[in-house]
Amino acid sequence: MIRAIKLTKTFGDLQAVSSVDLDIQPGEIFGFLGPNGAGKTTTIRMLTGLLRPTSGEALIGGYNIQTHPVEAKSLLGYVPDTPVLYEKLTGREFLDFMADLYRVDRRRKKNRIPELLELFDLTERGDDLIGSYSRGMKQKIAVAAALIHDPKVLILDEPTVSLDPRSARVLKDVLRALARREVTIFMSTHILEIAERMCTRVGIIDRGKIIACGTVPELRALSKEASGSLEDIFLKLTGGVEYAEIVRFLEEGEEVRR
Amino acid sequence: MTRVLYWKIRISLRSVTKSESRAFLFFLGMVVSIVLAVVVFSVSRGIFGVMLEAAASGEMAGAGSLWVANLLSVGFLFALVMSLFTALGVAFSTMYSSSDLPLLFTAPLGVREVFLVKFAEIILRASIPALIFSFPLLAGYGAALPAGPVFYLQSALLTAISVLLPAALGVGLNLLAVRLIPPYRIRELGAALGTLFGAAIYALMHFGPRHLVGMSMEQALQALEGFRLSAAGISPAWWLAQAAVAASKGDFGAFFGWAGLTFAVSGGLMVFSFSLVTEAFYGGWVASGEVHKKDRRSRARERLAGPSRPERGPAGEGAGTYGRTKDREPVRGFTGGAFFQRSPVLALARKELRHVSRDLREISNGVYMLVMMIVALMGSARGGGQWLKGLGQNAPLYGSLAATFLMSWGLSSSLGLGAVAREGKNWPLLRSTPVTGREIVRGKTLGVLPLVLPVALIAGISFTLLAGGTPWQLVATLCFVVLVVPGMVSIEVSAGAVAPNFEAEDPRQRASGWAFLLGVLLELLYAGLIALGVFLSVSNWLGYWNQTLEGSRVASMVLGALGLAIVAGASAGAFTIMPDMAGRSLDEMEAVEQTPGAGAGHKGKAEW
Repeated sequence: MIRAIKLTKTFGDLQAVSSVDLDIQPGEIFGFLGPNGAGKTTTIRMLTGLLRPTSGEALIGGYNIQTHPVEAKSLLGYVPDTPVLYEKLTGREFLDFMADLYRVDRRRKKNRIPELLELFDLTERGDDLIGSYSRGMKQKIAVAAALIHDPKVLILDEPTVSLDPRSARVLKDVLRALARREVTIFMSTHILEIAERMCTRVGIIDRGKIIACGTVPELRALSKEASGSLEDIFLKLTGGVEYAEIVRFLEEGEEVRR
Repeated sequence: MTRVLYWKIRISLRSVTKSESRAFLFFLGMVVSIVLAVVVFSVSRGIFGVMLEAAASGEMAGAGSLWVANLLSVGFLFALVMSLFTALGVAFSTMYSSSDLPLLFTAPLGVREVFLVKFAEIILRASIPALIFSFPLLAGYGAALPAGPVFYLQSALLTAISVLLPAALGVGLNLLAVRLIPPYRIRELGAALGTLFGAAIYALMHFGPRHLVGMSMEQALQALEGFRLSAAGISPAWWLAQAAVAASKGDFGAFFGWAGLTFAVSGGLMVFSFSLVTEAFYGGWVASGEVHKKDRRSRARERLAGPSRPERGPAGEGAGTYGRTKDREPVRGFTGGAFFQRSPVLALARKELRHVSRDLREISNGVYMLVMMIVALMGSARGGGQWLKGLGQNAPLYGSLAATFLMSWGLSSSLGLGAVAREGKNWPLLRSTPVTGREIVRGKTLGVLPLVLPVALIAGISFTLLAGGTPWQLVATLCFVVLVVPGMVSIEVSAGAVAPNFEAEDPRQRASGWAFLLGVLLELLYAGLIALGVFLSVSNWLGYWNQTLEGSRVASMVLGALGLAIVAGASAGAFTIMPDMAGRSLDEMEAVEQTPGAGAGHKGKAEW
């Protein structure tokens, strides 16, 4: 459902994303991990058609997002990392607006908007301007907007950041339910526990290249961390282990000084 | 507290000398201020000299001191208003949105100390208009008398009091506004008030000198006397003027009486401000407007519907989500009927209409443009009238059409040029949806059009009636507006789409200089075509109708129809072709413009 073929993006001399290949099937929850500056957001922007790749292709449901943007984007729901929304619209109006952009049928829209507002606990604030919402509420309305047209592919950039525990749980349940209905979910996150629990497969990007991709047991085998958590695997693959050693060294030094 | 004040002054001075350019600007500001003060002093001495001479010669005997007090009062009123506006602005930035507030509150300082430090800062900044205007005004009066050194000491005291009053009032009004209006509306309200103030000053500068030129001394003094705001007994400007007159006569009792009254009122306002600031500090600055808004809504609901209904939470609990009250008033807006549903273009148009009509900054920007256009059109009406007379009996129609076109152009430019960039940081979200660039430009055009069209229609009717047009000319003007304005709006929106600045907060900075220039060039081309079409239609059809045209009847009918076809064709072309071209440009823009940290909606993000 999501395919990236040799996806590359160069900014001047800097190769932000280099020959990324991905193939994500319907019903999969794919976790996209990587340290800061690894190329996650650039990859997501290319997959959503916001950035044009320097070379390579991004396909959504078989449609090339550059050559057939309308068809590809119609299948897609996108939740950006920072929920920047129309502050002068109410939550309900924003969902209505997004439904129209995705050409959702009027009758379906009429049922869907209250459902989503109820699901994310926003019914009471649905008629207030988004400008008066908290960051978490903005995040919830952004997720609701991404679901308004029953997307076949859902791309989420750090979706659980700024959500309260209840909303984060609701979102996780919704994502699992969507995956059961064959919706493809592509999610970038820094919370490795969520990725470990939820994702069917995980891809790790570092310095613009995919350095590992597979299920958690497959990654465990790859990193030779037989009983390690995803955090241990991630640190081993992305070079974070040395920082742990530095911390240990500092702690030991402290004890010696004592 | 004095230590904090010392550090505040030191930081302010350091910010002035931070760079050479800043130091130069500061120096330049000082020089300009001194020059202004010298000018005020010279003008004041000259005017008071003439008045005192006239009073002494018996020409206006008996009324001399009253006119002096009137003139001083007008001067003080001007200085008080200037200081008040400065204080309002400074109070907002230092007491409300200052970044050092959290830091000051983590330090062991009480509310009183923080308030006094901030108040001192406001007084310092609000004293600039007084130093440029009030003191030189009094010094000029003293020089014209001529007065002794005690008068100048009393003048310095009056100047200080004249700063204290507007500073206290400015802080009080600011804190009151924060309590009544939600914080996110303050800036917009400030922009609207500032625009109205700016427009008033511009209109005063434009029309004021015309009325003053040719006025005799007596007429000027009568006009001064008629200016009741400065002469009213309850006006602090009048109290300060009375104190200055008393000082000039050496009447210390009267001087301290009037000066003391002003000082006491200032003190009262300061106490009032302090009472508001205490609650605001403890209630939380950012939340204060929201808290009071919530209270007001609760009270209004209770009044209207009796006791509030039991609230139903999502899980059946009584408390509202996030501690908010339930059953809030829905925000009203244009909804559209079933016909308008499900079209991305119309959805964008609806959204644009809502967004602009709810944004006071946009409205104030449009109002500002309208005021400027009205002033400019009225200013040039005299010369234009002479020129139009050469066009015969259709001159009123041509004049009203030209004025309507210019007015509509101004408003279209104000609202349309930045329409695409109005998306700001929402741009990536919008581009992630299956909407094409062409649909975006069309939606924006359709969203701006209902805001411009009614104003253009009203302007057309007003200008035609003012020009003494006939009912037929009125109908022709209305048809002209309906035909021409859609193309005009489309040109502005499309030109703005060529180089949008998504990061601009100020509506005037949303389109680049190139986009503005392109808009002007395209509108000039459009205006040329429209003028040709209108001239052909009006001269042939109305000429034939009025039996002033010689030649073939068929030819005049055909030429008139050709004119109408040119107008309709130009408008239709602008309305259809321009969004297509601009939309293609928007679609092409993605790969080029969106680089890390510099692209649309990626402000401050260097992550990739």
